[in-house]
Amino acid sequence: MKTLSPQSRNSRRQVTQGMDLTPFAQAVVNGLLMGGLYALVAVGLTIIFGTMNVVNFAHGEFVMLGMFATYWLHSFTGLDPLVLIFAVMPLMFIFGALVQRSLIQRVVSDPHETQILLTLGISVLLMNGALLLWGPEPRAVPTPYAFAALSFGAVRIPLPRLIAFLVALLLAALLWAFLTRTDLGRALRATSENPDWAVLMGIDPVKMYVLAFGIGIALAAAAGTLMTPFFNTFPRAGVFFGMIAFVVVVLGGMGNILGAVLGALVIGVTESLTGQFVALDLSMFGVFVLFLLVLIFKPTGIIGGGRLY
Amino acid sequence: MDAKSLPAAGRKAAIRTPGNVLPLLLLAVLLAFPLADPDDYLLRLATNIFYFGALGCAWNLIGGFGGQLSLAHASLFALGAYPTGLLLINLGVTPLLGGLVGIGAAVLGALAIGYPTFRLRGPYFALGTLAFNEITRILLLYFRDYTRGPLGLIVPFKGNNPLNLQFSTAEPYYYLGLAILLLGVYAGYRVSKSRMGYYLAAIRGDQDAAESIGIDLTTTKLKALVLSAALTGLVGAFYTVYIAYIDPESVASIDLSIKIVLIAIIGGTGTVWGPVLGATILIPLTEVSNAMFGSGKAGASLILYAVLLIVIVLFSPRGLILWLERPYRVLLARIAGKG
Amino acid sequence: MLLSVEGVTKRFGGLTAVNNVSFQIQPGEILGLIGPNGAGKSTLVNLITNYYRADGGRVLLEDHDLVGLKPNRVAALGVVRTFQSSKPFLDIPTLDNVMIGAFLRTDNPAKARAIAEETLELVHLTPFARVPARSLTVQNRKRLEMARALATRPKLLMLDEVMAGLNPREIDDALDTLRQLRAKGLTMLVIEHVMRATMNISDRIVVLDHGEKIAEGAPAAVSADQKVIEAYLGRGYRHA
Repeated sequence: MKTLSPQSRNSRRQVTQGMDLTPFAQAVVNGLLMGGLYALVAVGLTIIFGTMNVVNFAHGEFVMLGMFATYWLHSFTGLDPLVLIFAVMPLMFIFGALVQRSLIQRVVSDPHETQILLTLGISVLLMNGALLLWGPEPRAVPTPYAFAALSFGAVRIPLPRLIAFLVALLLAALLWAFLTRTDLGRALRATSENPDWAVLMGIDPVKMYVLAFGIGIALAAAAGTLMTPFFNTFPRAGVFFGMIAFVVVVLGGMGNILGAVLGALVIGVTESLTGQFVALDLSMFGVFVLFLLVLIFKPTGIIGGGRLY
Repeated sequence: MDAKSLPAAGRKAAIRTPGNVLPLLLLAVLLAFPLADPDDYLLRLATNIFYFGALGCAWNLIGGFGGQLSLAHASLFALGAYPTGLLLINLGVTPLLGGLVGIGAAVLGALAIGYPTFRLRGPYFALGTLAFNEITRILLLYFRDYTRGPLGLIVPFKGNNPLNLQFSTAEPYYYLGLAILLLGVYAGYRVSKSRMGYYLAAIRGDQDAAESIGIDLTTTKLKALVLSAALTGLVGAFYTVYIAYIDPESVASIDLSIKIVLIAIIGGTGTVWGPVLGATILIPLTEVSNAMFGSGKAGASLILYAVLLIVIVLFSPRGLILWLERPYRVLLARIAGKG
Repeated sequence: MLLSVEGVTKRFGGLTAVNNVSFQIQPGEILGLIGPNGAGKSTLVNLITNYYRADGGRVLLEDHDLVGLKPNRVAALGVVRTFQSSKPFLDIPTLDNVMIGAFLRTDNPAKARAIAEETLELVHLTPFARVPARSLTVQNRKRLEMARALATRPKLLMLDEVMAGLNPREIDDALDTLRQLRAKGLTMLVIEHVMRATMNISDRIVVLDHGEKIAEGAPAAVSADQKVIEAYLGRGYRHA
């Protein structure tokens, strides 16, 4: 059977015997851990949307490319994904910047519909290009700690997921610091708030857009790298994360980084609880129902949108 | 919106009003085509063009005329297809009735997407349609006791029976497809000529301005989406019986949604004939690509779609019908001059 | 009384853009609404038409409260506005733009076309009927926007800076059109930054400054008002 859910090698939901609350606690922990990765993907999408008001439908495919980049670098060097992240992020930053400058920049001032069609085209191209080049078969990046876990009572915390979670939040925090503490970050924020004023301040908005897109893609790819120890790498691996990221970004208030992080954790837990207590195949269904509920009742998101930080 | 979005009325007038003769001539040729005893492959290719052209026409009602990008049309198609197929297979209900159930399901789906998202400005509708498409696909896979999940539905051939829309030759399917395409073109024509068509053009142009002169944005968009969904559901119903096999990956995946969008935008969104042109280009191209690279999972046709999508959006966002306009007008003038 | 604005207030965060403003518009008159940039004129139009939700106050159209209605309902009831930065439907022909306005009162395309043609004549756009609105000049786009609003057959037309950016001759043309409309009995609220044009055409003037009404009355009286001179002209000089 073919589903969108990433194929997990070590089972995502450990069967835990015993007390009533354990499955619940375990599901929440699993959800939070996944939520950290969603946050990283969604923060990348957010900085792109927040800065240039472009909805990047190819975002999930950049996660996938991050996974493949990690896979290939690993197979050549044998280095750990946590080391390779220092190579993958700059590489994907450059790739993202090139995509922005050559394609996305042409539609920056067009309606959302045009931008979505373009990024959708890029998404399909990347996914099927990967399929053509590398085939559909899932590939694994083995790590010595793949099956290590910490235990708190009956609740089990897989080590690679915990590492991914912590590094993801660290990267999100670094982005925050960049945006609020550095001149370049301030210039980026100024552009996101009003490109016309930014021009008056001597900022070139096009450079800022390239920067924002590059950063967004580097973060998506970093999430890809971080998940290689426990998810298989294959051409459709990113689809799921792209979709999740949209839901998270809407939930977080379209363009709000803190909102995206909180939204990601909420989505992770929602997905996990639906999978645990309704049906595993329906975990995405729960996420999308939450999405529609947000659109109906709180379309500005849980934080209330409009600001990048 | 701006230059990259698409005008309706301006080109409309050029392409269709004066030359009613040429479309009728084309129709006559299409009606006569099976009489020339072409081989089944060509008939089936033409039938596919009709069905996908009709899907493009349906999408165009909301996505083209109204400028609201829907990525849910695969799921609306599936909502038309599955009830029809299930009723026919399990209860022997004629697709003529089952199709009505399918249309109803597609319309309900459209309301479920449109109601929450049309009130909002921004990319919410497009995102909502993406989510809805996935929900539909996931549910079709999940309820395998009813839908057979990933195995899909096989519609058994129960002999030549017009009531079941099942025929032992390819010609009846061809004419059914042609009829559906005509219905799609007619729907686009009627909408473009009516108040609703003008209102949709206004919404595509500037929603604030549209609202300032009394247009109810949500209602107008919902009406167009419902009409679009009904037509899509109808195509889904008929296509199911024609193709005799449906599964979630082929009828409810985002890939099909993209194909439908592409048909409309290659030809020219917001024009009556654009989707017909789009299907006439894309469907044979897909065949050629499948013949050259295989139709397997290697995704050659999807790479073709992606490249086409990117190229059209960047270089000819008004679609290829734009390039036919002037020659067509010249041709009409010449015919008029002689007559 | 056609329209009665009663104590309308709008705050954006800490900023009070419109503070407790009240005025009335009589049937058939032209009311000028003036004030320096940022005085809250456009915000007031957005409040009357419900593009913004008021934080306080009422807007009555012939005793019918407009607050809380959607903008399209306000238009259907007969209060129609133009936008300061004009928003024609760029990709469709000028005539079709105006037909869309006319469709508010008829669903018959032939009738809508007739109304639109008549309205285009009134604003001297007939020669441009077939070209896409995108190809119109700024002045003609403003005329088009006015025609589109007029085609809805409004009871009250609110014109937001239709004369801004026009040269003196174009302003005279615009004033002529407004006089013709008044002669037909149309009630108008004319919002302008350009004071002289407004003084020329208005029966009465309301002056806003920093979101508050600082004067109201006949043009001569208002232009002699010390507060207006200080707030408005004083700053006008600084701008110049």
